[in-house]
Amino acid sequence: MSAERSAHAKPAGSPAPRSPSHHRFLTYHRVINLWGFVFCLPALTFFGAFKFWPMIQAFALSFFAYDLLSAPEFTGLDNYRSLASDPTFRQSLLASFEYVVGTTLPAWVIALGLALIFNQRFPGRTLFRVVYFMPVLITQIVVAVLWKFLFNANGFVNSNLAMFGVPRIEWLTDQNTAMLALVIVALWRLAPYFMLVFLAGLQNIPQEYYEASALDGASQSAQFRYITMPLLKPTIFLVVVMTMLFSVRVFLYPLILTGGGPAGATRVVPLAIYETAFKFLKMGLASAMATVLFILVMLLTVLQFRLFREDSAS
Amino acid sequence: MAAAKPSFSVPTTPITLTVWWTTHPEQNAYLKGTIIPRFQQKHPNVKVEFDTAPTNQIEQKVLAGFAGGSGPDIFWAFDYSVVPYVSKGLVTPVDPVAYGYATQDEVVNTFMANTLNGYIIGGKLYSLPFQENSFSLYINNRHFKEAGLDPVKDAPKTWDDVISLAQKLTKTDASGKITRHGFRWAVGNPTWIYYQIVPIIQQLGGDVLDANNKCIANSDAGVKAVQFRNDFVTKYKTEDPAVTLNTPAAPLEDFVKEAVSMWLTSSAASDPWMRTGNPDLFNGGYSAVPVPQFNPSKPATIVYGQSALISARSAPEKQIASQAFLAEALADSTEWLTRVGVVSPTKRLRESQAAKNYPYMDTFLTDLERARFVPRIVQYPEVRDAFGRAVDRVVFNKADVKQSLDEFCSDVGRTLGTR
Repeated sequence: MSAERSAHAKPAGSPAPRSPSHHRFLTYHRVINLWGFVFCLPALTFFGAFKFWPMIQAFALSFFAYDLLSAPEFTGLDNYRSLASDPTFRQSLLASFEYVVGTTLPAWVIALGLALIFNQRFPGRTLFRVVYFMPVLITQIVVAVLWKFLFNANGFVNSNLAMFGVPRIEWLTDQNTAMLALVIVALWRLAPYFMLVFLAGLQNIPQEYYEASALDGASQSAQFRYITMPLLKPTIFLVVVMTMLFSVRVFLYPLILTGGGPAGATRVVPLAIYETAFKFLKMGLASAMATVLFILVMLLTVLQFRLFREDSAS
Repeated sequence: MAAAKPSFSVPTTPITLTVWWTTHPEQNAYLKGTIIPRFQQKHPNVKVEFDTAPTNQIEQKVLAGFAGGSGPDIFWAFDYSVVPYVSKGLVTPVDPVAYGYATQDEVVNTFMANTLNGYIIGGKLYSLPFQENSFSLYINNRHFKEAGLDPVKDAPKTWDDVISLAQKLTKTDASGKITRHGFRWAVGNPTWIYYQIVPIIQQLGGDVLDANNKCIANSDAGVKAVQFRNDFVTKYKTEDPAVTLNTPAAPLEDFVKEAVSMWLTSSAASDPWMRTGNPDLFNGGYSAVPVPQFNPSKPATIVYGQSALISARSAPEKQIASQAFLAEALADSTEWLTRVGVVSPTKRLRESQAAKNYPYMDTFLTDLERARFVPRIVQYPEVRDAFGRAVDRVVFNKADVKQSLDEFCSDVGRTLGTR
């Protein structure tokens, strides 16, 4: 026996060598991944227990009649059939659609506009950033109550508009302005938040690109079109998806400001779900409404993913 | 020789009663400061744990409690909530013996006529109200005097009177926009819309549901009633529905802030609001007259109430103790009026000096005795909300009245068919 071989020879009584297949399974990368999973486990357990499991339960409940006081009773697709023929649910879907469109599109524009402004250097920039961000720091319920006072027929908004000769607007009791009032409240709080997101995105764009393009004689609008927008695309995608998700699940503003009125004009789907579940004690029907909303939002999100992916590919 | 009152004994073993009540400063203070100590003095073995939740959350708290298996022994409820609880076997009927009577009829007989109709389900009495209110017509005395009217002599007795007075009392600005309503109806608040408009339908000989719970609101009476309501906007031009200070949380703000001269409301709703929101109005600034009627020989107005229910899921000894507790709480209806400012509609209260001294109590009790409860169906909240939307459609969207009520009846049909 050579010295080399004897140096590698296993001492007597040592365990039998492991099979080659065992070594192939626990590769270095797999071990790293496994530890990563272990570290994520608490968060996954939390989300599983408090997000995903209730979602699955709600979906299951949508096939039952349940009023919290007696055992659930299987009703098949009755709840969905009921929704399909319910004009008030259609009205709620329309109200949600109006709110989402009215909130998201302006939010993108305003947030990006503010971010572009605050990305420039000017005196007092930091102070202005803080001031514009302050609405985000106020909790939603306080925002709703505050704007309820501001939008009062004799409130701050009308008294200021009166100085410009604008006649009194019944913001919260006129069906033509109630949804607009909710949109204004949402934008006041939402736009600064996404301004920050856009600002972070803008500041991640290397300045060298702008310097190089300036040397090549590119105008500011050309820089915006050919440098800023393409490199901001991931951030834009994030903002688009998040604003849509935030808007679709709005609840407090219509609850506090309008109660869903006038005449159901602002009775968005989350509010309808809440009323169906907790005022009318129809948990199964409310779960069906939530499932329908979930499917619509998922379809919209998938569409957004596809659009952004196609755009990036092209 | 008078029959001896039946005796009612509470078990002497240690008992803890859980009582869930709405957050109401005067009610809570009276119960915690007077009733509970008095009861515990008589029954030292019974400990009462009193908890409260805001009115718009108490029912969810109770439901969540029962669903989770930790419901209370006694819980507060609106009158219309009694039906869903009873239908699920959650409520124990009132034990007349706890109140010193041998039969249910004897207990019912201590209350004013018709005031317990809403609590008798399937022939059994499930609760006794500590508070019951009907709507009356409140008048702002100052507005009347400013217009050269006498709040007593010129108080409206018919709806034609209301229309005529509304036209005199409504004020507009230079652009024609109404700045003060002579009379207005509730908007955007299904509960108040129901309470104000449905009695008009009933006064005209109709109703929302018939005896078989079929929707009849779209009948002639219903159409006439909603059209009558809308005429204040379109025909008499004494109401702009969008001009209001009222909100779901503060449905009397228009009257309290004197933005309306005449307003349909109840004593219990108005009392705390006015007392805190406008003491000048509260202290002699208003009058209350019975709700005007289309047909004085067949009057109609609404009644709603609050009561406490005993959980049928509690242990038997707790249910017995709960009966004794509520009997103690409701022993003196004059105390509920003087200490809390609410009407527990007993005959004793009717005859009491406290009632005679209370401003306009005669008006409130007159309306109460001819008032009707809302439909005793599990789906009443949905029916009520759908009716509110139907009226708001006419008022805000200028929808055709018959079409809107047909849509309402369609909603009701669907509602009563879903669970």
